[in-house]
Amino acid sequence: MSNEGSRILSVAISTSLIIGIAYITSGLISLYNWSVMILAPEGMVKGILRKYIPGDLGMALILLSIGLTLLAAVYYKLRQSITKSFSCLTVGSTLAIITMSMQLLTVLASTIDSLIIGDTITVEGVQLGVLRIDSLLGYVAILLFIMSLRFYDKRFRAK
Amino acid sequence: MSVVSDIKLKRMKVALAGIPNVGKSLIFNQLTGGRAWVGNWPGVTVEKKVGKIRIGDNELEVVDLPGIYSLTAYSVDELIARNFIVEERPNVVVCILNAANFERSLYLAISLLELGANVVLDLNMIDIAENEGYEVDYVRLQSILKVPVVPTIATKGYGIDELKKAILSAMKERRTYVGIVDYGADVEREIRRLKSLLEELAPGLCRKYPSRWIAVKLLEGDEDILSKVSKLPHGSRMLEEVERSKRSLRRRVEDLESYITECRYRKALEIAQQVLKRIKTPEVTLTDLLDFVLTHKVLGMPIALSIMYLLFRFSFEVSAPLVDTIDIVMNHWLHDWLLSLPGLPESLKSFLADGILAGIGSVLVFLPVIAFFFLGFALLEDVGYMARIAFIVDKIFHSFHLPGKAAIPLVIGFGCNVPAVMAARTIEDENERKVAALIAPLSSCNARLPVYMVIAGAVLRAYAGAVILSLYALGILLALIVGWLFRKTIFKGPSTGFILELPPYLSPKLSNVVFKTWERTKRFLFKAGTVILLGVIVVWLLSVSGPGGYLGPKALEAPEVLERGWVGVIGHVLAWAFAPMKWDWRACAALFFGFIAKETVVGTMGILYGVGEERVTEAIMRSFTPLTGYAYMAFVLIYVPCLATIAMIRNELGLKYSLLALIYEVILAYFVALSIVGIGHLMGIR
Amino acid sequence: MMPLAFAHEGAVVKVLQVKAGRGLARRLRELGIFENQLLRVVKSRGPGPTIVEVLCGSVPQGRPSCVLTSCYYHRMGGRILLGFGISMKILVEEVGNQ
Repeated sequence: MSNEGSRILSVAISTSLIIGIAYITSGLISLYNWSVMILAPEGMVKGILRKYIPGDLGMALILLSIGLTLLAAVYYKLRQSITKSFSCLTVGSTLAIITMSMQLLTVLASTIDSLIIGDTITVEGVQLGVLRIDSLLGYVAILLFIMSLRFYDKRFRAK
Repeated sequence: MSVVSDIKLKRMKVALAGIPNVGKSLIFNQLTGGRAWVGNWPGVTVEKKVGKIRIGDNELEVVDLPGIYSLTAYSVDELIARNFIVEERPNVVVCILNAANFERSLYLAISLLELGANVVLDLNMIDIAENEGYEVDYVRLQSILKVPVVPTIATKGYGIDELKKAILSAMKERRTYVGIVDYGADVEREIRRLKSLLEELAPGLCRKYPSRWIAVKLLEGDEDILSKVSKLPHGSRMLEEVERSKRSLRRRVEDLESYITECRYRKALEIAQQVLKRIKTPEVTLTDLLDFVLTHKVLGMPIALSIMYLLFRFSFEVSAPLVDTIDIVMNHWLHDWLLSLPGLPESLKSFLADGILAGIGSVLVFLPVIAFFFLGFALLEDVGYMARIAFIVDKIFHSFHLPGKAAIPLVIGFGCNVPAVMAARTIEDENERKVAALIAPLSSCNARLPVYMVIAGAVLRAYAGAVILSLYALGILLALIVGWLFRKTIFKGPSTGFILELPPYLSPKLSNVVFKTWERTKRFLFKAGTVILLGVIVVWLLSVSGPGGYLGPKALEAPEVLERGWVGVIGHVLAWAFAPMKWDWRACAALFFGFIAKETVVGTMGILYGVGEERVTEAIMRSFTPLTGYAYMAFVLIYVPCLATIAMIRNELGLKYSLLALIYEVILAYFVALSIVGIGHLMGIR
Repeated sequence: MMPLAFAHEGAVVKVLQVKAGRGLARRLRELGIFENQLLRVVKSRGPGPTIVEVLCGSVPQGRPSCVLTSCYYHRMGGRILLGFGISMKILVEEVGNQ
């Protein structure tokens, strides 16, 4: 493997470790917020950062899946399986980007929807949508994706 | 070219054959420009696509044969392809080879050549083969097989014109190569003997099929050919001769049937060795990389669930603007416009606005959600992901005696149950296929969601999200349990499992995805649309008339009048049957109409509570407790999906099974709703 | 000798016997799975469904997918997913590992 390739990979893996932990943490928070909502519906317990990490079982599932995949990339790197580590990196970051795009698409759709049915569109509403945790972490994951593409060029496309 | 031959060419037929995942439908679309008539093959529910190619001034008819691996008589698809080639005698059979799955494609090409077809080979996906590090020497292939070979890349439209030219020139010059496989001296001797006997004893059959092919098939024990021969005047003598040949060969060949297929296979491998050239060391392919994670022991399942969840968000949330636009146009503008039309009698206006228009509206409102769902699904399918789901869930499904492939109908079922029933077709084993089609309606489709949303929103408020999720889970759980029960009782049999060739991951081809989405959505629109429309009209008729005669459209506004209509009668009868659940007669009447289509349940409730859909929540809060509301939703989930789905089951499996589906679902729904109420009471919930 | 369902991920196995009915055996044969053929187990939910690659003949100029007793084998076509049921019906012996 070329030196540059290994440098890219180690940067990518350290980033992956950080983002992976961020994903797992926010997934757990979302899960916590969800159970708070279910167990104490009257709003007696406040939950954590509810605006940005709403309690949503589906979102929690995705955040945890992405987090696990990214941490698996770190795990396989430690076990010296470059290919496996790279697979996890690519799939994890791709899934993160798809999730982010879906959230943005939803924000766009609900904005258009408000226009159609004549609801008012608040800046805050759009802002919260664009900055929701799954889109926020998705922006960072683009970096990871670019790194993994560059690594692919260096490592696997070499003739 | 002369006028005479022009007219002749116009009536000419081209058949497209190829193994699955070879890009056949893409090539069909590119040859025909996407215009096709879709029908069924006679006698079976396998889709038949026919289109026209224009080459210069000539117009040829193209028939898309089912995707097959060979031409045995074991599967319906293969029999269709084989009979088409034999009975309809297409002038040219284009066999599409997958350069990246060369040996298996070649096996089919060899089978076609043996059948005496006039073959043109289309070597597709040469770009993917190159990515995997090798190249097919097509000039050499052409000289070995003695038929024209055209390299193409269908996804980029490369080579399609050359393919058209090759088809045209093959029209004029017929080339066949029935003796392509050498079965070894001993077997060849018997083939020759049977061949000359056949030509003497069964000249009619030999005019249709190549006699060498019949001889080989007889030795192979092909059921279709054996039964054809036995019906001939000299049939029994012929079969005796076949037995004699088999006996004399038994000393040399252990299992004749497998020997013959293996010979054919070895021929394919031998040719592959001669024409495959390595051009570079293979890279780690994208498929290898993706499959490691996507079918991973730990990560595979959560990722699959995540992707399903994204598919749901896509179909419900992203389609919302379209849903609301249609709702506003259909149910407000057009509705009000119709009612304000001067000079029409009141009853006709009401029929048009509340009957027909409301019916069309209730179907159209669902169209965006379903179209988006199918769009997402087609994308996943085109990329190659759906096949992996079968692997991920196989172990779980296996413990319920179901094949992993049965997961695919259940997933489609989340969108709409009608195509879900159809998706069960791909399961090989007959019993497993029937069970998969029968349990598919238990997966909760898009149309049921509004019912949950309204009722859960009204009586369970903060818990609504969790409750709706629990209903989806309940549906899948029941599907597995019912599937297991069916496999243990009516549809017994060993769990044969399934074989699925995993396609490589490919970037999706937009036109292909759009085309698939359009086809499925169209099918929903016509199949479900007509039934639902009829249903809504029936609802209107039953509402405005009663045992006492015509009540007039004012019944729709006044619940007291409505109670005297047929709807009221039905509602009261059902309320008596559902007494333990304590649902009131209006909710019960809505269930009756939900039988036609789930979309109508909320609308009917609105009419019956006399409040309109907007304020139905308050009415529901008054008549349901959380417990009876939950039981009601479970009942809605389980009992008959809709008339269109039952019609589809009848289409696929026959009347008997559609009745079975109807009965088991109603009984199961009653039982589950009753248990929910019973258990709830025991736990002290009201 | 053991069912394919029990083979390890990454193992190269030789098919000894296919205990399936005629139709199934034929389908497997068409995909290149029959007695004495070599398969590489790509994925296995041991015991459970498997994903295999069919390896064929020693083709020096072909696509080497693994090296076995100093002979190159190349993988043939796409991967095949075999459900749990079928994986139990194919009896194999492990001949190598990657």
